[in-house]
Amino acid sequence: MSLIPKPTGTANRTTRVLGAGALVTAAFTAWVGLIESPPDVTQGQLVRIIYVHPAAATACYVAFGLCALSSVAYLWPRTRSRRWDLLAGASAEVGVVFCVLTLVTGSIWGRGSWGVWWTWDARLTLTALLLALFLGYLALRRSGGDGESRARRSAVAAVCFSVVVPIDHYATSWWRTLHQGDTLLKVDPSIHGWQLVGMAASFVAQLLILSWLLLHRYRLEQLEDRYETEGFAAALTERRAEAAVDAGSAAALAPTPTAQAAPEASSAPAGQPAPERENSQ
Amino acid sequence: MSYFDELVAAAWGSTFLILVAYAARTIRRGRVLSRSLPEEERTWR
Repeated sequence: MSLIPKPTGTANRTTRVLGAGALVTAAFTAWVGLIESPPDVTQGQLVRIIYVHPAAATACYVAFGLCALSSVAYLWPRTRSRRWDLLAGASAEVGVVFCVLTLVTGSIWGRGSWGVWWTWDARLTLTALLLALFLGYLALRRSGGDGESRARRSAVAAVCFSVVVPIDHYATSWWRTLHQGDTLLKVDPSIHGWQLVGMAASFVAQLLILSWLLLHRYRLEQLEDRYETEGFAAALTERRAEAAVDAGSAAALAPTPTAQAAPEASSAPAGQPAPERENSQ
Repeated sequence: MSYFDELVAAAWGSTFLILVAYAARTIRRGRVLSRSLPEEERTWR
């Protein structure tokens, strides 16, 4: 018996390294964000939400962008592969989780700085729309039809839905919104010192968490796909074997006059014909 | 603890809870499904 157990689940060396990196950077972000960085001049303690909210939104955009790219790769005849469809499904689900995080943390921040949990601001509305669209995408992936047509339908939907991602990102530049604009993506960022370090660390941490979750979810998607395919094949084989047994027992019983005199026995459920016929005699 | 501190705790707490819950669900489901595979196919490269 080996001292090292056989690996089960969706983990391997890569996910363990990624997970450890994500934990370390998340802990560092928490230390900087909650302890080391000073309160903001205007926002006070509330600024500490900046170390979770923008990074979650970026992770959400990256995941939905990856979903769109994988869908394009699936639709492109030269690169078409079932793996692209599975990667699109995995990244959409992880993206939905980060989109929920973005909306929850943004709503809490809005309550503190604007005095309301929700307002129909362009950025907020588009993010909510993005969540609704990708929830619809996940529902579409579970809809009926054969695997290939379902994958093609889902890929087209993902490409169409992902158009909202850049619109959502540039909403603060294109329209007058309550939501603040870019903080880091400027020539002269409006934050410095520990705030800048904490925010950069939060981006690294959440992108590492995203990668770790994506790897696990992609492998889970492969397992589910295989389970679904092999489960269906096994059920089909089992049913054919039952049908063969039924046909064999019916052929064996056919020449006997009692079997011919009892036509109701032929409508008996599968798997039970022989004992019932014997009992009916 | 001020109201703003509570909001900060809620934002950080919900981030932690949502990510941990989703990760735990994904890993658990992966473990359950991989048990249906032959042992030699359970390693991910």
